[in-house]
Amino acid sequence: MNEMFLKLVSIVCIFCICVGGGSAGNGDTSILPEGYVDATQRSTHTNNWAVLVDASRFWFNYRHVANVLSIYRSVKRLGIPDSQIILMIADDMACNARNPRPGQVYNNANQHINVYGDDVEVDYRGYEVTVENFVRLLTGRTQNGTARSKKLLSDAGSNVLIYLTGHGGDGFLKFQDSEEITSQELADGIQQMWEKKRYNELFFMVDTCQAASLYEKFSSPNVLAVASSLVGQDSLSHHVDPSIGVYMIDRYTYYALEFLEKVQPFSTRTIGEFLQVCPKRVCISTVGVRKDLYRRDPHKVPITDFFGAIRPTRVSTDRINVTLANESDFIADLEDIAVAKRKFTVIMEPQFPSEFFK
Amino acid sequence: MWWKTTTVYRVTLPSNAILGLSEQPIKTAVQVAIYTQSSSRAQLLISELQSAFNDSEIWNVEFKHLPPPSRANEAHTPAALEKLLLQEHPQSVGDFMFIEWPKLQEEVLLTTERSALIRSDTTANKLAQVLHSKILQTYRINQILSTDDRLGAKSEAPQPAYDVIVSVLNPKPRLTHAQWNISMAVKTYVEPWLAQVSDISNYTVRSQWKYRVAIEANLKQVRDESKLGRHYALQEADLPHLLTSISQNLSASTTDKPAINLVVYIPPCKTAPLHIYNSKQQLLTRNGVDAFISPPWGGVIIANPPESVCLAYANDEQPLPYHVSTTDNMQVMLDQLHKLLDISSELQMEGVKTVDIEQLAPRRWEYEAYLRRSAIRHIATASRTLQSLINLLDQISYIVINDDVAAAITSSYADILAAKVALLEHRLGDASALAKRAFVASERGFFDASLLAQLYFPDEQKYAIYIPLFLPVLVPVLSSFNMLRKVLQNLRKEKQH
Repeated sequence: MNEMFLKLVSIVCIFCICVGGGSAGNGDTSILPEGYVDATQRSTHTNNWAVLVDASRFWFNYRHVANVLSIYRSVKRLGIPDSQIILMIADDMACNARNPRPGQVYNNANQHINVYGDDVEVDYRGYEVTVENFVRLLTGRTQNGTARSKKLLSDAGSNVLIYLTGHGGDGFLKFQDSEEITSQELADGIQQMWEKKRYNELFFMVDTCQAASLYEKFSSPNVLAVASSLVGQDSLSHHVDPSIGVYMIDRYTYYALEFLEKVQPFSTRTIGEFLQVCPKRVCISTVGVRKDLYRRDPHKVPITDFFGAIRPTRVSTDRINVTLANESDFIADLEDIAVAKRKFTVIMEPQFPSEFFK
Repeated sequence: MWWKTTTVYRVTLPSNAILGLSEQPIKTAVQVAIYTQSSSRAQLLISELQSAFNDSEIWNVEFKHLPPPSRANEAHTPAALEKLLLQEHPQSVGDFMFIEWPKLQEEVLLTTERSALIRSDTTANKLAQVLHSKILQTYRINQILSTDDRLGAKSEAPQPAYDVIVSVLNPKPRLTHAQWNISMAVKTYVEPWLAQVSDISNYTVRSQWKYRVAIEANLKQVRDESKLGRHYALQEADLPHLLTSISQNLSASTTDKPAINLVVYIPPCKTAPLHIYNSKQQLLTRNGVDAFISPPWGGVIIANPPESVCLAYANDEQPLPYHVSTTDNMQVMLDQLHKLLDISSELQMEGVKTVDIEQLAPRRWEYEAYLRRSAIRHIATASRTLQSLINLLDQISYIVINDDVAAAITSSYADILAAKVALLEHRLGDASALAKRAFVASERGFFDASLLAQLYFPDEQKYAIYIPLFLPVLVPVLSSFNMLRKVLQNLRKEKQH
């Protein structure tokens, strides 16, 4: 006890001497300059990507599709363009024969929000949603001939949001009914992204049973993870809609959507607030958060750093003073084209042999 | 057999050599010639500049003093003098030249070729500044080479191929009879310009008209003195959202190449003329240009219809057909391309002026700085890619390296070394081509689909699936060996007896 006290005193003394020595020169150095602190907390991303995955199919998993569409709706509303959202949905609930409201998927029984919306661009659907395709997507090692819209073309300046939902267990997430992705494979995928500098910061969100087990093996820096339940807990669904006969949405995503609906593109809501969504009282499961890989303070990170996309734009009104042809040349050429076009006539062949019956 | 079929196939790679790539710094040789009227001044400038660049880790600058050309007295313009000097001392790609011209107004005047004019009293310090920030762009090279991921450059290395898509948006074709021969305009201005800069990337140009596109933007009406009595204000802060709604309608990504979008938006008379305002409510229109860019996505030009057209609309008359001005829009578009491809150097310096571009090509020194920067960036990116692949091979056991991938990696490694040598030997053109090849090969190696061929056979699965399967089979096999041994022993015993 005494030894510890002595140590403490000596450390404090050394610290005082250091501070005293520093302050003689240029003020108090024990406090970092505010500008520096701000700079380390400020985001350095230049673009946003979202990978949203619903891994389970069949009508009784309606809620998982509603989950993933809720997040899709939010990121799209907050500005991430479809070309930068990779949406994987294992089943088509909107056009399912059992859906009494075709073309619509709702987040609650009172039909408050049609999460299906007007314009959904699904990149991987049905049986394309496999572990292989997901890992290929993350690592960028897609098969030759994969469309550009199906690739995660993120770079060193990208903030990536990964959202997974489906049926999970301790250390795995089930894809369709045939295969699983393990937490190790996920961690490897993210490590490969980090090594190739394919993300700036990554926000990993998962809504399944025992969701926290999926982020346990992560070791790559700049990853913030949130899970709907801890290991050993089930994530529960929110409520049943009697008219469709199945659960509508999972609790965690229900409250996440409720929060995100209040966020506007320039809002000051932070990720820190978002991490507190769905307390145990309403969620029943405990929301798990992993912050040790993340450098910034979540309470200072605007939620739009991951859920929105404010592309940097710059007004530029300069011009290069080159004139290569007179304006009239272009007009004359256009008129030539118009004249050439006018010659085109459509000849309709007679459809019936009417001349024989005259 | 089971063991053999499930082993991960890996060709051996020059791992240690690749990991050692970053130990050898990327150093570039540049030759800078100086001509002054008195040779003592040139010597002084050179010795001062040499000491300024001596301890540079990136540059190996060779300063050269040019003796006065034989017919120096005949040169009455700077251009003539430059021509005479070049006849006697030809420059190679990436070189630079300072020429003294006493009657100059500015301290330094950068021309559109590989030269700058300097005044008789320009200091060596100023020249060093110009070299660092304009010609060599040291700060940007440092950004590329930085290993700190917060300070490092966040933009991508130039890709080998791009699509350039010029789109004209006319949301209300029934009410706005805009006519424009966009394909001819693109052929006259954009294609020849891109042909001048396609050493690093290939560009495929397409043009298209898009009608009836819904543009979502928050517009505010502002009263003014024009005949229409009003114009519309678009807030600078709303531009990203305008961009998102525009890009949804462009159907740009039909090919596998990244796209550069150049959009000419013709606002309908209902919301025209449209001008951009900043957050302090100041009009940002300059010289009648309303345009903005968002690298690397592309640029947007707002081409307001002429006043007469909108007056006719306001008076409920028949819509007037009109021609969109080619020169106006193409001049802005060319400037946007300079900025989007990151060729132009926009850094302003006191006392340093740059000659305006008057030909359909970028300034030569700017373009060569871009070549140099791209070469260094390609080398740095390719080295990093190969190193991260080697690291990953150590960490993750199921990654397959087949013969093709190994060949790509080895050739990329060889090209990196060759490009570094070329940079040091003052061959910028070769270095840029080699660096690009190294970059393409390294990307192909890293992202090859076959690396994941054994994804479904990680080690745990090998043991977890095959051992329960084969162990029960092995038990009777092993016990039968035991039996055989006993039988043989018995046989031997019987023989002995």
